Order: sequence, then C-alpha cells, then structure tokens
Amino acid sequence: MKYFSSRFYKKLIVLILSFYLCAWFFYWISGSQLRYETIIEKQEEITGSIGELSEGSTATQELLFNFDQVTALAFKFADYGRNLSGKLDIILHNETDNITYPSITVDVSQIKEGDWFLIDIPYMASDLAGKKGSIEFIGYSPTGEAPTIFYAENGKGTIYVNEKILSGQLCMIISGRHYYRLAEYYWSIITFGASLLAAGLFYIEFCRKHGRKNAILQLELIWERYRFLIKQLVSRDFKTKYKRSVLGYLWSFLNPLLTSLVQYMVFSTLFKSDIKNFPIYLLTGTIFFGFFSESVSQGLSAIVGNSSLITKVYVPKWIYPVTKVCASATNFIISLVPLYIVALFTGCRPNFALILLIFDIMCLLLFCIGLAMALSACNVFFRDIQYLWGVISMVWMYGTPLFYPETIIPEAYRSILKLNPLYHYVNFARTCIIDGVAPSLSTFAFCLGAAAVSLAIGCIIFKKTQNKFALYI
Amino acid sequence: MLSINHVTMNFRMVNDKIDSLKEYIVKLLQGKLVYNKLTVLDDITFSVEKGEVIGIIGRNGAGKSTLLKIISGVLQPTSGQVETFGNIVPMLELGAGFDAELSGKENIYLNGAILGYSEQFLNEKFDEIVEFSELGNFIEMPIRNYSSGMMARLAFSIATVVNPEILIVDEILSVGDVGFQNKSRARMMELMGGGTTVLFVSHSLNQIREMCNRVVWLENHKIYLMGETQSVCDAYQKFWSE
Repeated sequence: MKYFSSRFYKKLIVLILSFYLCAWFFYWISGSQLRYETIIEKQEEITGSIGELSEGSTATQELLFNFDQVTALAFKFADYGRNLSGKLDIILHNETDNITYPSITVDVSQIKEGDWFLIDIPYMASDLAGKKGSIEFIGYSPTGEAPTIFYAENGKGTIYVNEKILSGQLCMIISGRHYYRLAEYYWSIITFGASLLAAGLFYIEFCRKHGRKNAILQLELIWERYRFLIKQLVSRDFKTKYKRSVLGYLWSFLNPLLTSLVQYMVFSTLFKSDIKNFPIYLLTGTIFFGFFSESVSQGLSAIVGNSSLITKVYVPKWIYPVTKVCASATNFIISLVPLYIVALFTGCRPNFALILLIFDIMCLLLFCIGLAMALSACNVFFRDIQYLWGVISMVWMYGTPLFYPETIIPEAYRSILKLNPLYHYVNFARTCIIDGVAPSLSTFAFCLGAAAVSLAIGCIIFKKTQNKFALYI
Repeated sequence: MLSINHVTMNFRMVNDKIDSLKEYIVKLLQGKLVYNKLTVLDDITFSVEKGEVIGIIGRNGAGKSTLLKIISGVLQPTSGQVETFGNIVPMLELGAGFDAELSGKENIYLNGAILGYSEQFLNEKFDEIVEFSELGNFIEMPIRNYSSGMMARLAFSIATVVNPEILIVDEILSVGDVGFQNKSRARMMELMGGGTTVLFVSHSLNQIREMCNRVVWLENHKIYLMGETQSVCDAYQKFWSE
C-alpha cells in the first residue's frame, strides 16, 4: 500500500532528475567560471626606471595580495638602447607565512623595451588573499648588458633596490584568481538543494491530500483559475501594440536595430577602439535596457489605465501590471532574433553559454515585474510617478554602460556601478554572446538577488495598498 | 445565496483630492492635511435568497454603487462581511473590458476571460453570443467601428450567456434599439426564471416595479426601507413628491 499516488512519485523522480540535469549542465557550461574568477591588476604609468639589474644587484617589490592565487606576471623592462645578455631570477615570497616559491629564470636577451614581458607562474598555493608578499629580482647579467624595470613613483607600495628604498610600484600586471570556496562543495550543495526540493514536494503533496492550505498550492490554484485571463490580457497587449501599422510585428525587429544603428554612427568613433565587437555591445545594451524601461513604464500605468475594470470586476489586481510586463517580454524575446543574427554576422560563434541567457532573462523579467508592481501601486496615489519615471529611466540609461565602455567611469564611482542591477543584466548577456563563456558566479548571484529583492518589495507595497485602489482611481 | 452582515464603509478622504506628490508634500508641510471621515454605508444588513431580484433605489450618493462594489468584491468594507455563494457576474458599463483595436471576436474572449469564463466555455458558447448580439459579420471587425448600441449588445450578450448565480446590473438595461431592449428584458426574465439572483440598481421605478421581487431603499447611507416592491416604490414616490 502506498501513501502517495504513483503519479506523484513519477513527477517527483522527473523533477529531481531534471534538477540534477540542470545542475550538471550548468557545471559543464560554466566550467572554470564556477570555481574561480580571474582578476587582473594593472600599473601602467611610467615615471622612471629603478636602475640597472646587473650581476649581484637585487630589487624587491613589496605588495599585498588581493586574491588567492597568482597565475601570471608581466613587467615593462628597459634596455637603455643596448643589447642585453645574461639572466634574471624572479622569486615570489609569501611574507606572512614565510614561504619562498621556486625562482623563475628569465633569459634577458628576449626582452624588448616598452613591451609587456609575460611570465607564467607555474604553481602556487591558493591561499594568498589578504597576505603580504614580495617579488624579488636577482640580476645575473654583466654590467652594461643588464635590463632595468620601469616604475611609477605615485604607485602604492615600496621597492627596495640594493638596500635603497624607492616608494612607488613597478610597471606590472598581476593576473590572479579569486577562488569560490563554496564551489568545492558544488555537488553537496546541489544534493542538499535536491533533497530540499523533494521534501518540499512531499510536503505539498501531503497538504493537497489533507486539504490543507499552503502558499504554493494557493499559487497553483490562482494559476489554474486565471491562466486564461492572463493569456488573453498578454495577447491583447501584444496584438494591439503594432495594430494599424503597416509593418506590424516587424517593428519588434526594426526598432532596436535602427536605434542601435543611430547610436553606432554617433558613438563608434568615440568608443569603438576600446570595445570588443562594438555593434553587439551596443545592440545588447539597447535591447535589454529597452525592454526594462518599456515594460516598467507600461506596467506602472496598468492599474490606473484599467480603472473601469478594477472598480467593477473582481480580478486579482496584480494581474494587470504583471501581464503588461509579460506582453513587453514577448516583444523583447522577438527582438533577440535580430540580435543573434547580427551577432553571427559579426563573428560570434554559436555556443552553449547562450542557454544561460534564459536565466538572465528570467531574472530581468522578475526584476521588472517587481518594479512595475511597486510603481503601479504608487501611481494610483501619486500620478507624478509616470512623469517621474521618464526622467528616472533616462538617468538610469546614462548611468548604465550601454554605449560607452565601463572604463570611462572614474575608479571612485565604479563601485556605484556595481550596485546597478541593469549593469549586471546587460553584462551577463554580453559575456554570453560576445565572449561565449559563462559569467562569473558573483554576476549570477547579483542577478538573482536583485530580482528577488525587487519582487519582494513590489509584492509588499502592492499587497499593502491594493485594497485602497478602488477608492483613488 | 447572499448575505450582507453589518457592512460599514468609511472613506478617509483628504479635504481636497490630492493626487500629486508635490501637493501632498506641500500640504503635509503646511499641516493642512486634514482627513475627513466619510461614511458611505452605515451598518447595512440584509440577505438575498436564490432567484430573487432585488432592486436598489435611492438618491445619488446614497451609496448604491459602493454597495454593489462591496458585494462584487472590488472594495473591502471597513467592517462587516459579505458572504456569497456562487459566481458573481457584473454587467460592465459601456466599453469597459473591451479593447477598441481588437475585433468583436477577440473581444468576446477578452471580456469573457475578465468575467471569469473558461476558454472551453467560450468556445462552446461563441456562436450563441454572436447570434444573440445580432452582430453577424461585424464580429470580425475592430470594435472601434461599432456604434454604441452594437457595443452594448455585445456586452450584454457576453454577460448573460452564462447562467450566473448572481448578476449585478447597474443601470444599463436601456441599451440598443427597442427590439434589442425587449430581447434583453426577455433574457433577464429567463435568467431570473432559471434561478439567477439579480441585484439591480436603477433610477427608473417602472423597471424596478416590473422586474423586482423586493426593493432596498438606501437613504443617507442606511437602509431606509426594505420590503415588497410595490409598497416600497409607492413610499419612494410619495417621499419625492412631498
């Protein structure tokens, strides 16, 4: 005798298996991105050189490790216009734990003045974050044939050259990795998630069997009951958008293409050289941001615009803003087609990372729904919101790197940029389409987190105020 | 079928209706944000049996429409409860729930969905709705080309195709030409005969006398008189002639 029906067990097994499949798929696509993030620190400025590193002379740069592991170093050497010969040893120290790593020997004759000289670091422990360290150079070249290294006086840190002290930093690039410790437990976390899922399903089935209420069953009931209405409202908005226009749905293709074309002509000379695949960089930004600003502006007038219905028929009121956003989303998804076509033309290869876009789009959709719900509720009481939104969305647009590279934002304000959810949503898509790799784990977390926060705030504001709507519209 | 227990509705209205943020802040800073308590319904209690047709009369602003809104669940009363058994279908005012750009056919589905009908039900009843509305080939046309009479016919046909348990009618029976008026009245009678409970707000005493079993007379946000149609209507007429 079984307690639950066999149909339920079948459903359970299918769900758990597909959960694992998704997890495996994600693991496979994201690959190294899941385990670590690559960080690059650069000191490019040159104010002078530290002096000749001939036989017997040493130079030591003190530094603070900002990440877990160093994978490569690059320096700018100078040759005083002479032919170089001999060797140079480079030794990394971890001073906090007093560990010295095997030295790396460089053939000095390979050095070209002014070029970055790249040195791979073969193996290093991955626990450097926050520790003090140093890079030591020991010269083995005859005087007159030894190289020197450029440095910047205003850089942070201290350089010791043959017991002489220089304040500043060497011209160098440190490429390192920041490891996600949690990723080591990936499969344990997934298994934990799967068992939570299973427990949840059992609980819901138990409630269903005993006629008890719970939030998910309630949601299922609402969905069953209002599915047809939601479908009708979404298709209404979608159908009427381009009604009476000759080209109809083609505008969903043309609109972002034409906007981007104008922007491309205006900005291409300004920023082109700084950005890889500028057309796609631009188009992705335009389409994603366009969806955001349009869906929110549609959604925020949904309650006021449907006042004649809201005062007459009982329909859960959240349906109005949600369907407005969903109708915009249909449009948005159509406009991804020309985006992808242009991407293929500009040399992006089809790849599996594109599947991750589904995650990005879902998060963006939830983010928009949350915002639309909050604003549509506020708009009932203060009609200024709809005019205010025009201004806010414009500020938001200029604040997001849509047509300019993020590097033009001063370092001091860069951290504010990182708080802008739209920056992450757009960046997520760009990484998938242009680079063809999975974005970093922190981007995933931020996208999901922003969506959850927005949705929660939207629901709370909406729920608190919805009973008063009928009085104010 | 429907019972209304001690329903009271208070609005907390600001002196002037403020709907801009600037006005609100200015008034708030000036300390002029005075709230007036406005009682729109005061302790209303009555119940309706299955199949009854209840007329609601009263002067403008007596609270008739608010009462209907509370019954249909659009407004939450300040205190008291409304218990309903069965689905409520409101007859919408002209054009509400329609989209002018869509065809009559698409509007049947849209409006039907808003009224809570299922897709399957609408598929089955589609022909019946079109036939009753007498729109014929116009059904494929965008309804922005419809006359107001045609729109009303369509709205009435959609609202009454279902046999709702409770039908709420707010002053819209006088739609269309004479022929359609007769037809719609006949359909209303048919519904009532079939056990539909109707709540009917009208200023036309003739209609009330003709259709209702019982009448609730709201005066000053309270029930002034409630009872058998003819006597309440007579009293109402007398009240106004004095």
